[in-house]
Amino acid sequence: MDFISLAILAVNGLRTVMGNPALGGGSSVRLDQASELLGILGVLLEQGDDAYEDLKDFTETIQAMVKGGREPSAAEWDILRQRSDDAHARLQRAKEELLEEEEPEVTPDPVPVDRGGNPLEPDPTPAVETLPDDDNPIVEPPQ
Amino acid sequence: MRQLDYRLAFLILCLSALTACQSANPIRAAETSEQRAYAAYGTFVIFQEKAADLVEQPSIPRNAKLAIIQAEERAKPVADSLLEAYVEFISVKAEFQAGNTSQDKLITASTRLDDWVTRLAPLVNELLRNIKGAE
Repeated sequence: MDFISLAILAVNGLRTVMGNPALGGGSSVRLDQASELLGILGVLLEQGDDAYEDLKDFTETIQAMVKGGREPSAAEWDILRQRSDDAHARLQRAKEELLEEEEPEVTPDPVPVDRGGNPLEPDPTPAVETLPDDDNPIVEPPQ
Repeated sequence: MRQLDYRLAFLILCLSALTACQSANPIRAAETSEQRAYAAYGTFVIFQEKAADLVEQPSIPRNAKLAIIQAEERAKPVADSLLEAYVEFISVKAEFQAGNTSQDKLITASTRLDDWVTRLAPLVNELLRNIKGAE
C-alpha cells in the first residue's frame, strides 16, 4: 500500500471516528470542524489531482510567511484577486452557455395566409380529434 | 495480540493523516489575522479554479455543473466581503501605527476579519462537496 492510499484510509477512518459520538468523537464544535477538514483532505487525496498539489504549495507559501514573520503583500493579494475574478468569469460564461442550451430559440407557428398574403380567419368550428379505429377503446354502456 | 496489531496499524494511519493535514492546510499554517485571511481567500481561489476547470469539461453532467456554479456564487460574495474587511483592517492598522487610532479599533477590525474567514470556510466546503459530486 502506497503512502497516498494509506493516508486516504487514515483520513476516512479518523473522519468516521470524529463524526460519530458513539465512537468517542463529535463531542465539540472543534471536532466537527476537524472532521470537515479531514473530509476535505480525504477527498483531495482520493482525487490525487492538481487541487491537492496547489493546496500543498499554498500551505508552504503560508508557512514561509510565518517563518519569515511577514504579512501577505498588496501584490500577493492582487494576484489572488485577479485569479478569483478570472475563475468567476469562466464560471459565469459556462453558466450562460448552460442556460442557453436549456432555452432553445422559440419560433412562432406560421400564420396561414390566403393567396393575397392576408392572414386567414381562424376556423370557428372546433376541431374534433379522432383516434384511429385500432386505438379507440370500446366502452361498454353501463348496465 | 491481534487487537494490538490493529491498534498499531490505526496509530500509523492516524500519523499519516496528521502528516497530510500538516502538509495541506493553509489556514492552520497561518498565525496572524492577515495570514489567516490570505490563506482562506487563497484556498477559496484554488477551489474556484478547480470548479472552473470542471464546468468546462463536456463529460460533466449539466446538473452537476450548475450545482458547482451555484456553490461558487454563494461563496463569492463572502470572499469579496473578506477582501473588504481586509482593506478596512489594513487601513485601521496604518492609523494605529501612526498613533491615530486606539488598539480597541485594531482588535475590532482584526476580529471582523477573522469572522469573515469563519463564514467563508463552510461555503468553500460546500463548493468542494459539489466538485467531488461532479467527479
